[in-house]
Amino acid sequence: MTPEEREAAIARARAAREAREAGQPSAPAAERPARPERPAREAAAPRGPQPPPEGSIFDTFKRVLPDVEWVEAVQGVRDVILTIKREDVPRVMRAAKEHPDLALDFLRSLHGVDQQPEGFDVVYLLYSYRHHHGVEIKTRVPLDDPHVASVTPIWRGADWHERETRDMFGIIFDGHPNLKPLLLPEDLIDVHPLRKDYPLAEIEIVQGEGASQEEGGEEIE
Amino acid sequence: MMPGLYILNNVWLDAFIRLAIIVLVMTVVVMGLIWFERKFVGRIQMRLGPMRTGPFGILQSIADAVKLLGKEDLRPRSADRWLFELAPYAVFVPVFLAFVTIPFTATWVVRHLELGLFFVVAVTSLSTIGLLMAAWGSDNKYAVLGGLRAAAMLISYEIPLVLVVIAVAVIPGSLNLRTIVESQQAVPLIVWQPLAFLIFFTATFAELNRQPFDIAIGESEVVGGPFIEYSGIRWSMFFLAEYAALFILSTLGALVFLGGYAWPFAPSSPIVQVLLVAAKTAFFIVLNMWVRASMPRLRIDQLMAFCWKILIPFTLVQILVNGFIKLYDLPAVLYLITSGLLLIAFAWVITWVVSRAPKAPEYVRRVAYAGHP
Amino acid sequence: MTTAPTGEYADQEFETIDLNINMGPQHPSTHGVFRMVLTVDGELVKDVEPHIGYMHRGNEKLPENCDFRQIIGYVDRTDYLAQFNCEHAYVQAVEKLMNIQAPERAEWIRLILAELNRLTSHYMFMGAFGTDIGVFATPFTYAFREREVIQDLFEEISGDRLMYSYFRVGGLGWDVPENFKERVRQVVQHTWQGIKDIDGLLSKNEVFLARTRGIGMITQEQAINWGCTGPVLRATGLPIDIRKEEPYSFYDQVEFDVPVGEYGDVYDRYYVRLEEMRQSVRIIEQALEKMPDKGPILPERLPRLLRAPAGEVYGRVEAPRGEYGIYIYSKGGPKPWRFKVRAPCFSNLSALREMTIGHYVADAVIILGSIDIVLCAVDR
Repeated sequence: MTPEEREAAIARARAAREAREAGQPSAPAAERPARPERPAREAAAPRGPQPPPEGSIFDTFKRVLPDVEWVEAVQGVRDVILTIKREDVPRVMRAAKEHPDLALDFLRSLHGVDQQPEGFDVVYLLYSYRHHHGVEIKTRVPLDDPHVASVTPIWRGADWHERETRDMFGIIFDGHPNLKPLLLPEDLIDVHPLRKDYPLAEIEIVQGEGASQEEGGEEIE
Repeated sequence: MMPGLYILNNVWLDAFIRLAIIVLVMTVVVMGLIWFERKFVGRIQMRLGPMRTGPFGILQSIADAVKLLGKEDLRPRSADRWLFELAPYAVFVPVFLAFVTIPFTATWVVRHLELGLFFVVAVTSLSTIGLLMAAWGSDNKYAVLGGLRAAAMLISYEIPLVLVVIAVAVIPGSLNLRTIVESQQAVPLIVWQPLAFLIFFTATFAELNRQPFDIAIGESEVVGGPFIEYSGIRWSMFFLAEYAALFILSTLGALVFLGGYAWPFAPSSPIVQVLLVAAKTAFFIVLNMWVRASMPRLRIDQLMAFCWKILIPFTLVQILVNGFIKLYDLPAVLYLITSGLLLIAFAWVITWVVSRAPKAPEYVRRVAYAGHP
Repeated sequence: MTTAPTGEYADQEFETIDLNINMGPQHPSTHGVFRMVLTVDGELVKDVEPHIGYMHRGNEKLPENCDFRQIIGYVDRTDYLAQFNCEHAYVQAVEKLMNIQAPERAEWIRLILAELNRLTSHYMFMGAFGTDIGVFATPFTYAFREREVIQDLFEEISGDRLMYSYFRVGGLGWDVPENFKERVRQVVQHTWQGIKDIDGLLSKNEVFLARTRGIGMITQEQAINWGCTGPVLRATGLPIDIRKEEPYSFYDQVEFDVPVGEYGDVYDRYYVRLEEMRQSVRIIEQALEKMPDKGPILPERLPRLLRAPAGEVYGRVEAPRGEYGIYIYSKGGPKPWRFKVRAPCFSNLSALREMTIGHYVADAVIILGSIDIVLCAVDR
């Protein structure tokens, strides 16, 4: 396109955007109306975590492993989230992969979430290509004894994920063949950057006039 | 054997002057070839090549030479000093030696040798020792890998090169390059021996370490192979040797297969003869660069298999057949027929080899699980 | 190349040393700063030990201090060849978490841009892979010519050639130029010829076939076990594509096929990517027809400060290299508590050892090239 056409296009886009912005009421923060136009779906949904619906993968899990204590079972935004005790991890994972009704043969991701001071969460995201269902399994690992069984014998892909989680959080996976540092240098064994007590500096300069993030400063368009 | 007239009527002065001319002309030609390759290959790759140094980038080679001369002459501390420093010369000198017997016209040659063809091929093969010296003397694993690959490949591909050249020399009955050229006044040897031409052409790629046979100096794997520790003018001598060898082998192909200065018409003026030879050499060089810019490189075991299992049997059969025809004075058209049939068989064999199904992963799985949890 | 000694030497064991070759962080064909230590016996690779982490920049820690709108810049820089796909994963995750619905026109534009980005990424693969195989930079220049055409379009839309930061939570940053549809049609027309050029250069080349057939084979079970996704998995024969398994955006309204290979070797991975480029063009052409000409690109009421409710979400897309996922764990507030990037190259690269042992040194480079890694995604 020629430069003139390009200029004209940019001018038109800008005008459209300004028209759109001008149409919005520029109410200050205190007078903003209280959420009038939310879609009906969310208005009807109650707040708080919901148990998984009937017929979801949770029922299959309960049927396959009837004696496992499910610490929590929640319907998350997309997947069912199950929380188990860390002693149950080898049993549950092996059943998840090998039982034909579950067939969760694809380990999407294995990572940790810092939940200090209660410890760390280890999150396993699983998916089955055969049955087209997926699940998220979590387990809580205490801070003073961060050990959990390794699932590398079950899914080979967990190898590097577990090494990375050990690097970042310090969670030791028992039974892992080669728990050396993966992303961090080989000599930084006792530094765990993704823990919350490892410092991360605040961003000091914000768009707008230097208001901090918590006060809902400038609109970032 | 005297090339006609001795310049200044003195044998030694004549030889000296001719050699000096060869050295000067070849240096210029090699620099011109480097420029031409960059432009030609650049055009194949949809880019322009050197454009800034002089009109159309002609002075690029000179600029490169000046830059390389100014570089520091580095040598790794643990490198074997004599091997490392003498290797470029050991690669470079044999290639220039081969120019002694290449006739650009009937009289423009340093010396005619009865074993001319054999001399050229034998002397150019001496540069293998230079590559090995570079590889061992660099004290670097990549260099050793590359050098051993180069040695294996160069020695292997000498065999079809030499044999094919002998097979072709059976037809005029002499190894003297002048006789070979002048026997092609009616029909060039490529018509009688198409398969020999193809094998010769393929073997030249291997001798020159060029794609598709540049596994020894592959840029993306062993990062230059034996040349990895060299920099500056020493490094450039390896490449000068490569381009000089390209020129020699292309001229050889032009003389032996395309009829040199004697076909299609035998000009009387030596200038036109040289231009004719130059045109045919240019044809070979352009073909060479074209293939270089379009083909991936073969792995070392694949190219060794290709040489020993495909090229050498066909060359041996070709020699036998040619000798048979010559011995019993059979009509010359039989050369063409047998070579053509062998060419068809050659094409069929290659197609069959390439289209085989991939090998099963049994071996891979067995090795992978041994000792691994 | 295993030669057992025979005859009078059958009882002796020849002591040969296994050589350790370090294809170090600086190497022309390790696609970034990656180190592999090969233990070789002659030319046969006995063991591969990959070392990564040279590009680790803390890309998962830094967003913990950023507003949800600011993270879009970090997400771009993980997989720097498929940025729109990464941004798509991120905005999809946040929109699911906050229950925001992007308007229809914005979703269609996102789809078209993501597919165009798949084209650029696969062109980059063709170029780099051709150079690894040894063709002297010819597929590289062919591929980059096509890539430049598409990147020019991206520059017109987002102002940037590589790090677009164009998607926003809820839609797009600004509207596309008026002649978007004509430009995309132009680009797509040009691309057909580019795909044919590269196909003609490489696909039936005998040397290419000899170099890539039967190399780096991996079976279906092994691929799933190691967590491989994307073309590496589809080359083994499984037609698994997130756009078909868990359709997001408007992928369920366009028709396209999922190309699969047969043997799981390097050639199949190359061919699957070539076919995917053709399918991307098909998707783009259909999307151009279905896209509304006018419409909003951000929802009507987008809060000025995005506060996510407490919860977690895993948003996943089919990036050119596999399944790219963003996991966000939020404890309320404008910043995420945990931000995890599931990069496809990370899992694909962990299967390198499996694929390379038993082949030659020259093949190790090609196998690494065929996995098509982007170190910034592996190391984050």
